[in-house]
Amino acid sequence: MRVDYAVELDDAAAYEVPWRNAATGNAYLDLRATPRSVEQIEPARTRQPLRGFLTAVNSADSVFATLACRADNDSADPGVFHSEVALMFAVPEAEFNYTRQVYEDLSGELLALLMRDAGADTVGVLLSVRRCRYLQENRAGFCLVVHLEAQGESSGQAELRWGLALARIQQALLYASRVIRHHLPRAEGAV
Amino acid sequence: MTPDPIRRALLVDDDDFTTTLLQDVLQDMGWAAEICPTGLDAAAALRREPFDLVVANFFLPGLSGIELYESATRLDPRLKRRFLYLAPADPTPAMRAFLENTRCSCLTKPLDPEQFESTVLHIVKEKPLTGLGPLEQWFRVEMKSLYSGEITGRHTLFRLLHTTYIERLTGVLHVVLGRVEKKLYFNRGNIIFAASNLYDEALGEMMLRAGAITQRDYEDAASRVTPGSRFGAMLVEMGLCDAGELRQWVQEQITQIAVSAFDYPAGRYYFFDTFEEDLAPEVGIALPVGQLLLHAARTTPDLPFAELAAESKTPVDESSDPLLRFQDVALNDDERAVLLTINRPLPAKDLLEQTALPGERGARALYALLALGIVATVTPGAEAPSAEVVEPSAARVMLLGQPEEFEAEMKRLLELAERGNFYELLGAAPAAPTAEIQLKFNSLARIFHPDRHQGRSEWIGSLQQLMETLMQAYRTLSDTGARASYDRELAEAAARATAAEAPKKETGEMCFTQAMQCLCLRDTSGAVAWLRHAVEIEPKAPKFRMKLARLLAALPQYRHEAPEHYERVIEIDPVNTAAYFLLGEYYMEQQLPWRARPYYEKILELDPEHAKARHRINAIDPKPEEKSAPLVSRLFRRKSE
Repeated sequence: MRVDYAVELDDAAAYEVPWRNAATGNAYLDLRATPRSVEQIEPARTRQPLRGFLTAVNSADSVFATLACRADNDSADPGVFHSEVALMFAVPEAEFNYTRQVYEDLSGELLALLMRDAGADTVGVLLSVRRCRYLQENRAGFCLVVHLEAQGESSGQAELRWGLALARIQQALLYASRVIRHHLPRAEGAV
Repeated sequence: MTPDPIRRALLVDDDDFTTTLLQDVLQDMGWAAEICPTGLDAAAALRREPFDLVVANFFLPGLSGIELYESATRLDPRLKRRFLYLAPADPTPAMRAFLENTRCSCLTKPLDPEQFESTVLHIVKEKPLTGLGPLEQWFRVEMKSLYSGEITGRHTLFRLLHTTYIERLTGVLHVVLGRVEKKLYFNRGNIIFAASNLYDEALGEMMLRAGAITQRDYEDAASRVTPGSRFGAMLVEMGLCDAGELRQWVQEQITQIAVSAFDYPAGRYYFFDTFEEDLAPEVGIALPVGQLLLHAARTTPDLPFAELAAESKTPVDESSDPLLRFQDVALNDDERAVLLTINRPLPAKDLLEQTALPGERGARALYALLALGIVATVTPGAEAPSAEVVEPSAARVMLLGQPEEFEAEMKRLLELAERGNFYELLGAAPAAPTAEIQLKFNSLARIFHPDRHQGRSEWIGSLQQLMETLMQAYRTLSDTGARASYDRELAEAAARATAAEAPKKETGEMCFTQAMQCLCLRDTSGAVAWLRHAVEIEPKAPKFRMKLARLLAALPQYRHEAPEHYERVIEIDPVNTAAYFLLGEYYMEQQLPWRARPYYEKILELDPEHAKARHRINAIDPKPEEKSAPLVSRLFRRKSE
């Protein structure tokens, strides 16, 4: 697995939450509050690895929440399958979402974990720290976008490799969650 | 209350990513976890030592997960409820049937570490399978296991120090406790030097904290320290303290480094037979391990006191070895009470009942005495050694108070040790009965025991040498078979002084081989330790330093040390293009291309055909269109490079 991370702070690549796309009618879904909403997310409905990923990353064991995702074959090259998932922290009492260093540290930690996977070079992961506008809090902050791309001899093989790699990322995120949780002050109702 | 001992898990999967994550989780839980990539390796590990838990994949090279279960439970049926399987999301019917029949726990991949932790805790809520074994093995480390192993609890450190002390070993004990590394240097069982990578345990830091030097003195001395010189020596040179004060501070530092190792419940250890001969020449400290063991036994938590208090099989008694029995340590009331209660061999349980010390106090005191070797286990039915304390003769008592006479007597005995025979050395007639040999030896041991002369560091080496010979004489003459053989040798008057086999010295190559073996077993800490040792032994051999630098560069916690070693290789071998290249690569990895460039340029100076160096220089100045490529494309483009 090839892994890299970047900090992309240009406004064009910024996210906002909650979001709504007037053209497609899609909108942000809080999967931590309503896990069953995962069925309303088209790529997750059709692709089990993504459904499993979203469910796990938004579960009570995780300190993260997803804010957007997409997954499809590359239109130009059917032998490439890619996905993008944007994540934020679901730890309201901490200032994590507004601290760039936290996201950079998280990226570094995930990078180190994922680099342990000595698997095929046909999979690439890019962890990208982006700007994110938290509309409810009316604050500017950050989020982490995990871009995963897998190559194969066929679209099926590419998608299979993508699914296996996504499972690795899920495991790494849950491990990072555990580490972060152990460092959080114990507070009633804390995530 | 005695907490649970450290538990041990065996992780069996050829998927490194999963096993290393699970190893981290288990270590966070206070466990020790060993990884085996194949079923066959796991079966061998289970035959070798006990584990509290086996976490296994169904699909394994060599021996499947199911076959491993059958093999392991045949060996130890208690393992039946100690297997946790990692299964795919859609297990085969055979897997389902197996799990139903065996009731083994199972988790599906990708794993949730929280779920893994709760499942593990559920499985092992029963009594641990990994115990301490019979009491006579509690403190002894087999020599073959001394060279490296796992620290699975604070008791392991006691075992290591006890063995080093009792066997009067010389060498370096290197302990890796997570990110903390400590080295204890032993000379014939005494600690003569210690080093730690903890900032707080640096000599200057300790002196600064205690107000013995000022910040300015500290910085001034530190700035004057050059490679090969020591901070402490610099303080003396600058007149900031005298040699006596320095000795006290170094002693305190050694104690701190050694005692604080007991703060860590898990890690790994390595023992090297040799170390640099010029260590700490300016201080000449020899700290008896006995004092450290005693201090640690009184303060360390999580020791197996409950197990000791329940031990009812193996009798314990005062050690038959006077060198241990009469060591110069200040016992406290509890330890003295336990010692005074021993009037014949008794199991620990009975002994502690007789002492009637409340709570764990008795067990702690007995543990301390066992760790020190003052009390030892005896084989049931064996003849109890005499507990009679033999007072030295009046003449010898006088010698204790007269340094000059003492020194003369010591020299006389050393000469006898070299030229005479054991009878002459002990002052016993060749026909003397064993009891008399023991009396003579006890008398000499009480006077010349090195522990009793710690204030006279100039005597310590000679005393150790003398005590070793006295011990050898005592052991030979008090053993009927050995004595008969010795007598025959004397009678034949044949100088059968077989040229003592030259002690097997470690070479850089031997350490290098050990390091490679560690790497094969994925024991990177071990590999680093062995390579460091190879570099210590042969500092001018570029091969060892180069390998060490490459390994350090690959490990995040050591990465910062790599450039120094590459630089040193370049210094030794200025045309070593591989060292230049790897140093360049190191800086590229660190996103410091401007630092990498001179090294690539140097390679091209030496070898203009070096394609990789040229390629790297070109890459440092990318063409404009390359800069605008999307990040993910960049990611994949690297692959084709």
